[in-house]
Amino acid sequence: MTSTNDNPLREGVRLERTADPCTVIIFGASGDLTKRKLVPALYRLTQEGLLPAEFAILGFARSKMSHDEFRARMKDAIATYSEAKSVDETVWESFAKGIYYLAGDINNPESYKEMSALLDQIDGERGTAGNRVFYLSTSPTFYSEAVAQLGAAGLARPEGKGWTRIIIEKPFGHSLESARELNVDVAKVFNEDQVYRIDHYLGKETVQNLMVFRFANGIFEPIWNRRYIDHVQITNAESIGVEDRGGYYDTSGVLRDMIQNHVFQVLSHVVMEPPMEFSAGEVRDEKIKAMRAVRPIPRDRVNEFVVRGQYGPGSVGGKSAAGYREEKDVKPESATETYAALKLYFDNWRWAGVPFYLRSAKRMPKRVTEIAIHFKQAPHMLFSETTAQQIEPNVLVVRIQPDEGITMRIGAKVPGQVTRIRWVNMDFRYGASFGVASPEAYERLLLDCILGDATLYARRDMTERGWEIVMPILEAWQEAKPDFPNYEAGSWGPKAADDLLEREGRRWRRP
Amino acid sequence: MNTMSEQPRQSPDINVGMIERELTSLWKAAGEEDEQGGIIRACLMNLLVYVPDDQLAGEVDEIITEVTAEHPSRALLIIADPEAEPFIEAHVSSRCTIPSGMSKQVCCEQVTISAGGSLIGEAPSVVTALLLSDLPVCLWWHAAPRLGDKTFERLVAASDRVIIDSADFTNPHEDMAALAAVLGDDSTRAAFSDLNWARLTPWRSLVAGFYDVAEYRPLLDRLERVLIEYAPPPEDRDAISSRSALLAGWLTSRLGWKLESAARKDGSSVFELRAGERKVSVELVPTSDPAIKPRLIARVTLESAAETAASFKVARSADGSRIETHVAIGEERHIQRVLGYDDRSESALIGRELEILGRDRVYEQAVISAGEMLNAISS
Ligand SMILES: NC(=O)c1ccc[n+]([C@@H]2O[C@H](COP(=O)([O-])OP(=O)(O)OC[C@H]3O[C@@H](n4cnc5c(N)ncnc54)[C@H](OP(=O)(O)O)[C@@H]3O)[C@@H](O)[C@H]2O)c1
Repeated sequence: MTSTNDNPLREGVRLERTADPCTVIIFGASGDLTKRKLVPALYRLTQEGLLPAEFAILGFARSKMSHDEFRARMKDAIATYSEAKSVDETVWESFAKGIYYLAGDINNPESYKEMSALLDQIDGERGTAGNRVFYLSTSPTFYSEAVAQLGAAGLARPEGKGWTRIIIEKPFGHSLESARELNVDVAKVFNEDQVYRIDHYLGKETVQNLMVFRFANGIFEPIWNRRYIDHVQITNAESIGVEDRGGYYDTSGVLRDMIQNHVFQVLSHVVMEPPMEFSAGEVRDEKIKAMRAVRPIPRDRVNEFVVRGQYGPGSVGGKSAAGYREEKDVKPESATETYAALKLYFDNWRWAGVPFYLRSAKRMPKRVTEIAIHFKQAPHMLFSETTAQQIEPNVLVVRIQPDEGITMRIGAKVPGQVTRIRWVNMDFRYGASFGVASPEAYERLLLDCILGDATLYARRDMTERGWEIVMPILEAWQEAKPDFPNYEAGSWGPKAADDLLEREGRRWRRP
Repeated sequence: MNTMSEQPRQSPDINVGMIERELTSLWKAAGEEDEQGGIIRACLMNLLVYVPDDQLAGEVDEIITEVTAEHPSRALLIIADPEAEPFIEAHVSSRCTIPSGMSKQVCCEQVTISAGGSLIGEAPSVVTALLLSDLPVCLWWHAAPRLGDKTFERLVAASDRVIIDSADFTNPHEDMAALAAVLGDDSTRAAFSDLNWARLTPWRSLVAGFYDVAEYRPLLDRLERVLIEYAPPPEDRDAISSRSALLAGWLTSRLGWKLESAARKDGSSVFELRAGERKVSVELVPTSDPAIKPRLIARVTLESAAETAASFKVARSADGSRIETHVAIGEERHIQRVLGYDDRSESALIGRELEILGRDRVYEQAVISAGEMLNAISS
């Protein structure tokens, strides 16, 4: 980070963090993510004055385009995909001056020579001071190649002034082996502190809130353990199907696409010990420590811990929905899972014996991500038998999306001569108490990377740990042919998933 | 947005217990009205508002609605009417909104206390009894702050944060000095926020931003001329806008400059200051651009002497919707940037201030420096 500390004018100006001059180089600049998320996010950040004037974007892809053609495309993209759905002409003009495009091929060393020369030129024209963020937004098959080429061209750790960072999009590997290989390839060229692996769930305000909720409220920490908590349920449900990503999804499935990365990240926030300080190193150390304690699921007992599912035809939100195998670009005999539920245990002091039930799926009745902490039952003897039967455990629900908030279910006496207990919710909604909109995840993440803060990015060890946990499951599934489809689109998943909990006298919450 | 119920209460013997009971029945009624039982009563703080005459009451009411939509609060509004016969009365009301992305209504409550003549002095004791415990108290004092005014002093004593607006100062020279005295007073516990200062934040942030760039940082120690152009108030073309004075006070206090002399010249004010061995001049100049609205700052220019002359400029576009920055280093480098600039509404400014805790020392020092500079001009 620059010398912002010794700028006496900075003190008290309520912008704690200021970004260095830099150039963001987007690999895959003619692609979908660039126009839908990346450039609109960078435009917003500029408009809000969070990026310095000495800022530039260099788009890179094979398509032939002039700087101006690329600018025109990006202007359209901002008009279409930004939240405001409009472009301010004069803001755009000064922003556009810092946008450049280079046509080239990731596999071609010549392209990197041109890139290097163009970056030097941009430093001169825009005052970007040699600071660079490379953003890999191409098919994952190119990640290793792009990294190696950057290294060979001397762009990864250039001599002289300026810093260099690299952002790698998801998916990070397709298996433990491929994730390890990619990590090794990346580490040959970049230091770990230069590497930012995107997990856009971490950019979500409420996932960050979860940490504040746990560690800023002294009353929860003492009961956040096996003595008071019976079990935890994490639900990550989507109502949509695979839409037009069928081709990609069919090679992946929900375990790879959601659970191994996003759901485990959310889980780690629930399970982790308090970090010593809120820094990238400490927070990520605690998260990996927590995830290392996950008890491995033996390959031959996967069925005891995991349930997979695939949706058949049904109806979601009043509209009939096709089955997964009927979706575009999906094989008619596909064995890819669109639903997975798993039970995990942590072998550590805090969580010994507490089951964590996780589920993630497509084509559920609604879109919701939430964490439900089910507390142990209160002792019964206090009340007469009829009253005692009405006693249910307390549940604390942290909802991540939509309608972010925290709900606590407590028992209260119904006024009257007899003791009757009714369950009421104490409700807190972020939207009700803070009328401000949360920033887009990509805005937050891009700005963090430019500021050099990797707290909300996945570290090398965490990406591999996620795969380690799911590999036995993927391997066991590979061997046995599933009986798909086994749940109707618009339902809460296969019967077997209910059995997973019922065997232990528990039930899935209806979110 | 709707007001669910208004139950005016006229009584010379104003009764705090009664007001509390009325608030309770208000909530009960609201809960029954809503078929899903779906209202959320939210409260993050106590918002005290003081309005010096009832002309402003309507406008202030709207602002409270907007502020409480973002910062749910118990609002306690005091409307004073010094010219009236002595009277004091209270009524309770609530306001509900459905925030975007939510299905339920979020409701807040308000107690309005109107007082006239000698009974204005009783209002602080009513509102302090009605403060919700454990929640912070924020006072929006919609008038020039006056030491020695009992109502002001009592309300400030009950508050954690006080919001004023130095743009309302009718006599910037004296009022700025009075404010400096309040801030300097040891018994002042509350933190002060000034909406006028908040309006300067984008300017300060852009000026500071120039020197965040490592390459430009040394130029800050070689500043030799600062030019602040502003639109004077129409009623008095000679008056310096308090906003430009605050900006000058900010630079002076941050950079540790000492005032040596001050002079008026053709409507401009020229301050000579000393920065160690170096001399710096700060000039406050009325703009010639008629499109800039009164009291606003039009442009700030900072010039440094170095091997190659450097100048940094922040300017407002004539229609006020954009702000432009310009860096010129010698002949070869010119970088220009245009940013959107939404002149924030008063409620948005207040909302921002409510998010901040703690005293703003940088502001307090800027007020003291600005007061000094204005004094030097008038003496
Ligand atoms: N789209 C989303 O919403 C989303 C969400 C989460 C994660 N992601 C991830 O983000 C990444 C990008 O996704 P996307 O949807 O933007 O993909 P996409 O639309 O297919 O874009 C791929 C880009 O790579 C470029 N490219 C392909 N081969 C190249 C080569 N040999 N040399 C240089 N450029 C080459 C393509 O441009 P040319 O054909 O012009 O070369 C195109 O710009 C993927 O890893 C994806 O998993 C995307």
